[in-house]
Amino acid sequence: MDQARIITLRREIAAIEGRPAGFSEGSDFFVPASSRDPLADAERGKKAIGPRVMPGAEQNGERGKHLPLGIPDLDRRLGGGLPLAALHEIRAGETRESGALAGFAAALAARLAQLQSKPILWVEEEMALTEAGHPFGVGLAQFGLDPARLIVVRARRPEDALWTLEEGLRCSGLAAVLAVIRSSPRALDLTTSRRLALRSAKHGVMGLLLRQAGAAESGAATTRWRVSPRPAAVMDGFSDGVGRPAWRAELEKNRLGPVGVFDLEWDHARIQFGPSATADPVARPAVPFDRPDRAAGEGQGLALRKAG
Amino acid sequence: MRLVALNETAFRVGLSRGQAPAEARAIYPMLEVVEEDPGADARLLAEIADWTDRYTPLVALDGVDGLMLDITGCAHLFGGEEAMLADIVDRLQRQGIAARGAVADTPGAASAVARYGNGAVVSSGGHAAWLAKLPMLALRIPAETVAMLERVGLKRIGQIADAPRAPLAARFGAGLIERLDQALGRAEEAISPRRPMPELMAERRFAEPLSLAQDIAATVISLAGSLAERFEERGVGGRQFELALFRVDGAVARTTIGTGRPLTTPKLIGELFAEKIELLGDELDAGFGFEMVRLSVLAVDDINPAQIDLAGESDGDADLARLIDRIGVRLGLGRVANLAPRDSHLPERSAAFVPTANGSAALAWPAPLDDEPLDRPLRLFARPEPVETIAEIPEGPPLRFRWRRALYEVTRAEGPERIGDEWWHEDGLTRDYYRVEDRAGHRFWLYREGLYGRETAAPRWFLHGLFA
Repeated sequence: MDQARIITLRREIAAIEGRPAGFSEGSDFFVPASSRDPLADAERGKKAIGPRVMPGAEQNGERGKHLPLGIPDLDRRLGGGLPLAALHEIRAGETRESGALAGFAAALAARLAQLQSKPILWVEEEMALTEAGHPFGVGLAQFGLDPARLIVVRARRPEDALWTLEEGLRCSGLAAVLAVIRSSPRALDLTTSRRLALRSAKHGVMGLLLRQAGAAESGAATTRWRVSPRPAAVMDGFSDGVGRPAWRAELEKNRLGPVGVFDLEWDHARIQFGPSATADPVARPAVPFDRPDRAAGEGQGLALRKAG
Repeated sequence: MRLVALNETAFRVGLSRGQAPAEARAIYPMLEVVEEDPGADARLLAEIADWTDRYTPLVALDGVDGLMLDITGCAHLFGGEEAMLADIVDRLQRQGIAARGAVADTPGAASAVARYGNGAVVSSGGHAAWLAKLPMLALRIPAETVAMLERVGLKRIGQIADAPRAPLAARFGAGLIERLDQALGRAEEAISPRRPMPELMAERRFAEPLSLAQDIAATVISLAGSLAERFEERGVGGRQFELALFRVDGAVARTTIGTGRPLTTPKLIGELFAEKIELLGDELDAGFGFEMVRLSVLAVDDINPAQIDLAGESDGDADLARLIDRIGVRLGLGRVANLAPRDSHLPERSAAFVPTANGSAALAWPAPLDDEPLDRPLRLFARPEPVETIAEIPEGPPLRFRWRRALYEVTRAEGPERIGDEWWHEDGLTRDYYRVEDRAGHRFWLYREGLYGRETAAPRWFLHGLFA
């Protein structure tokens, strides 16, 4: 009798928190990247091992509730795309990887900006600005994210950044709040994390918590990613140049499906992800590459043709 | 060493200002002499000035030992000029400060009557008669001028009040005439108040002093409500508000907030102050309670009728504006900004942070490149970081570099993109930028500063940004 009550209570709690009922609190399902895909197993009628997909979520994402990333396997694991009313955590293991972290996050923001018209609040902790520079408007514009859609907040302390994140998640005038902090401040404990997740779920504002030099830690985010850089893909006509940015995005924790590792590259012209297939680079001497002269844009420096 | 101030007892035993301490001690051996501390005196005067703020916001310092208050239009709140003056002097007395005051039509006359006329309320228009009897020193002119006047037998203001002005000015200086005119009201004299005159103001006194945060918050909402009509009349909203809390023991606590857009809604104004008060926390000490609360509007902005919505707002834009105001209160309005493009070929000048509160004109960013690789980083260092680089001389790309003690082997380098300094810098160094990638895929924006041979013999390398 008590057992049944406990199960019912668990289901209710799971429903309130928006989790699939099969998960226990705070557990991370860590599945090595090379493992089988349990969803595919289920589809073939075999017994599914591992997390179940949240009941009700269609494979292609409920309209208006997910941000499709454009990589079918990845979107499927998320139940159609990155859930909009949820907190997502993205970390980079080292400070030097902050560029990759910024890139992946900006790519997500750029795709979100296409889906929704409301502004995105971009919060930076002072330390993050010192360590890895500040968001650069021209670079973001080239990347596919219109800087006019951003409101940038520079917070002195991590507590201020987290407060701004929390208050932003309540604001119906925003599409998302993106907060960049350093590693794991004391203020970011499980309770705070859970509160952020609940706020996001309640008000429908996506939360992206970026941690520079962050270690893997449990939290209440719906998905947690680890991003590291990969050699850039070569672009047509620029055989020796540094081409499309590429990253390894490891989905370390996923409440909606299995985890996995994805090698992605970003197409800034079409604002979409693509699979990255660059092999690990062979050591080669650096050959400087000059692009053919472009008509100088307003206020841009000329790229000169290399002599000789 | 001279005595500059004495207490009542000292006066009674016959001591006077200007005496030497030795002489004074001879008269009264038990005399306690303390060294003058002008700093402490100034601080005390400032505190008293703060305290008199509850009578009128226009308070100025008058010398090192006096205050000038402009009470035009406020006297009736305190039962008339006589009652008001008596109240001020009485309260100061109770706090242990002996004071003398006068009320008159002009600052000059008030100062003269207070210092040299034993203090009184001079009826409107009667200041000329009062001044006539007072000594020249009361005109606030330098001691030398007073000495010169005395030598020719001019000792009372009345003697020169109606004398021909040109000869007086020629003999004793234009300053004398100016002061005379000011005292008699023939010339305007404005006092310079310590605090800016607010655009609008509402205040309330409490028989029972307040000390709870929620009571203060409720009062703010109520005071803001009383200002609503005046906002509407002028067609403006407040951009900067100040809350002054007057403690029963005389201290005054003040806090200001700024907003991103003109506000008139009492609830929103109250919300921002509640936020600020919570932020101040222990710093805001109510002591025995606040007996008066004043809400001042220091800056206003025009408001268009569409923005006024006293019933409360619920759409996304209003929510966002409210959030920005709250972030402004908590972190500072300068910390909330929009990115704006700037017309400069120097990367660090090509984009700027413009505080959201300043409003932003929609300007065009450079268009994204279609099928070309990106050439501007996502993150830019405000101060480019020096890196030790190995590169071919004179203009080869970087081969290896050390950044923050870590070594990077460059596997691919793209460039150079040559960006010269602004033309008005004669000795500016040209930068050659390279997009480099290392084995692992870290992508950086490096530049060589200075053309080898032409501009400098030892060009330095810097890391300016991080690519995605």
